[in-house]
Amino acid sequence: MNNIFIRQLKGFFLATLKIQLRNPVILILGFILPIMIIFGYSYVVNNNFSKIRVGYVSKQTTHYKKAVEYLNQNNRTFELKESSSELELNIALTNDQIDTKLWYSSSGNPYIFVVSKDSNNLKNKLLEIVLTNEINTQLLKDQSLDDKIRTKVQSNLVTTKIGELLEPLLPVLLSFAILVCCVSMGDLNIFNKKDNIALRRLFAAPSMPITYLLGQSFARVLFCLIQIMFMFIVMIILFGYQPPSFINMAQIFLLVILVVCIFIQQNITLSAIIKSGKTLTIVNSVIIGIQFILITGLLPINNPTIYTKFIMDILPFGAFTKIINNITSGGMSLISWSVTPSIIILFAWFAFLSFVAKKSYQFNRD
Amino acid sequence: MAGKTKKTQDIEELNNDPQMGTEVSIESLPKYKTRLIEGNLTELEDTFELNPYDRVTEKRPIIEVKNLVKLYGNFLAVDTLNFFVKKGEIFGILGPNGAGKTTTMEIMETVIKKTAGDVKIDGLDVDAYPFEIKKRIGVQLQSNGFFQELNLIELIELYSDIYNVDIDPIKVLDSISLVDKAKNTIEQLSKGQQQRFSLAISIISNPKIVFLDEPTTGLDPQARRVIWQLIRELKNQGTTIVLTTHYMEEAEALCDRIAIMDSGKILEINTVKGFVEKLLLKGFHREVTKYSATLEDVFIDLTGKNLRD
Repeated sequence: MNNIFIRQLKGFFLATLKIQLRNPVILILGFILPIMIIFGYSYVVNNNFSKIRVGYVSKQTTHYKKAVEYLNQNNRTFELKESSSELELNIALTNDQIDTKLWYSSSGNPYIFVVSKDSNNLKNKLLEIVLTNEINTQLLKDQSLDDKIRTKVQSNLVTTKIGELLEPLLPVLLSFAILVCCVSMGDLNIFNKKDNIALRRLFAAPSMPITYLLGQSFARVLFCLIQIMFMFIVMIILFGYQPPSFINMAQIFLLVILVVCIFIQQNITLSAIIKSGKTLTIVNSVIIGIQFILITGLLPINNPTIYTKFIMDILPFGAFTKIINNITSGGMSLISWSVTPSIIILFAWFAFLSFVAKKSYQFNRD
Repeated sequence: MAGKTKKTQDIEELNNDPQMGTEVSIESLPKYKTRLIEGNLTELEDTFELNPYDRVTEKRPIIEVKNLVKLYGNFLAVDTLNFFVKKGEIFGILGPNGAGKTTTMEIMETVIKKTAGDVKIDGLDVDAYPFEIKKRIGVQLQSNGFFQELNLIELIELYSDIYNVDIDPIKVLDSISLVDKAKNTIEQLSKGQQQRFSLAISIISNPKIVFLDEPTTGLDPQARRVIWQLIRELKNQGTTIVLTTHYMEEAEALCDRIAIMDSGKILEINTVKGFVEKLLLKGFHREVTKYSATLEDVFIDLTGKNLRD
């Protein structure tokens, strides 16, 4: 790399960064809205705490009945099965469609762990945390509790701090940062300026297209990482969130960079097809937006079919969320086997879109 | 061909040359043109075959355009253009909207690709060496085309990075009397200020050739005169300038030679004096009293030369 390239790269990088930092829409979306989401989520968590108080559980308690009622209201079919095991009684699932399992183990002191099979779903995750927390807290008050069980329960104990409950929100917040970064690209990307005079001026300058692209991409990735760090800081300072020790931020950042790069390539590919900057922005935003909605569970799909689930999983945001869930709550790393398929999916998207972008986009105007 | 004199050959070539930018016959040429052709034609034969009108006074052209064609789908935007631009001259391209001026400029700037023909800038082919050419040219556009979010200093810094030149932004702004606007964005400037700034950016790398696309459109007389002065200073420094304009008085005041275009074709290339003399030879007569000053001169005299923004 020669000095001119480095200098041009620096120029485009700084210019893009300044442009992003001065765009009020991007600032609102990137920094204000996530805080609002965190506050909104916290309110929901609080609200759910007051509604679902399971407490010390036995089959006769009101709290248990409320949990069951909740499952019924959410169309979760289940049947009660008493386990022959000493420590376990299953309220087992009757079929594969059910994604919530309640089970308790005790030697005369029943307690329940609520485990969501699909922890991608925010509601399930929330229910899991709330119920587990309430039940286990009550259980620990029982002086006659077996030591082994007590240790296990303590390890499963979730504090009542809101910050602790923000963990399931992490994939959504991270995806939102990527969403803002990649959707705002529509306004600023040189490839969208076919109908803009700025394109001609930059075309007439002695810089390689790749320099501009790289400078822009670096700035966008950095901006996205700044957003994510900002979210973490807010969660830590305002909500007392303590990231689990096993969370590797470097791995999260690497993953975010990969997904941003995928969407940059997507934008370039779309630019080759769509000549109007405005249309391109809309199409690009819709494609990314739909993926975002799918992973947040905002779509009214209670029981997605296996095909829908498959599509959700192989889309970039779906694969990303799956990996983040494993990293943040499962204690996995990027080199764990369980996340390998999703990593392969992301790299496949990047390779495919890079190939198509390179083949389809003509930098020189006709 | 053996028995023919050089002059006869030249005249035959002149009349039959399909690359001619005009259909005017040799008989209608002013006497001095014929003499020039007779005396100087051979000087350029080995360098560049162009419009015979221009060959006569040319040495090495810095811009050479031969049989240039540009098609947009089925629309012929530029139709077999032939011209050249001499080093250090101001070359004007005039024409109504849609004449093909901007397309021609963009091809020379290596911004868009030509459909056919040869275009050389400073001896470099536009298709083969676009990057090298871009280092040697400066471009000013009709609209400013700058990032709206950056202030003037930041824009100068960005373009000094792009062109890899070390330059003091304040000095640049001082040269165009915009130091007090250093922290303003381009949108916060008046049209005249924007054009001055755009011109300053176009010469930030001290280019050999500057392309100016309607540099004074929409400006008041004072601002226009300032731009004219900047352009003349550029010429005095040896910079070659190609400009398009809708203002005839601007072309008259600035251009050494002018190409008049319409419907993608060059109708004629000449000096201002050449155009006028040729028209007069046709018997044109305007029954208007000619003053030694224009209404614009009166306007400037009454309102002063000082810039208003």
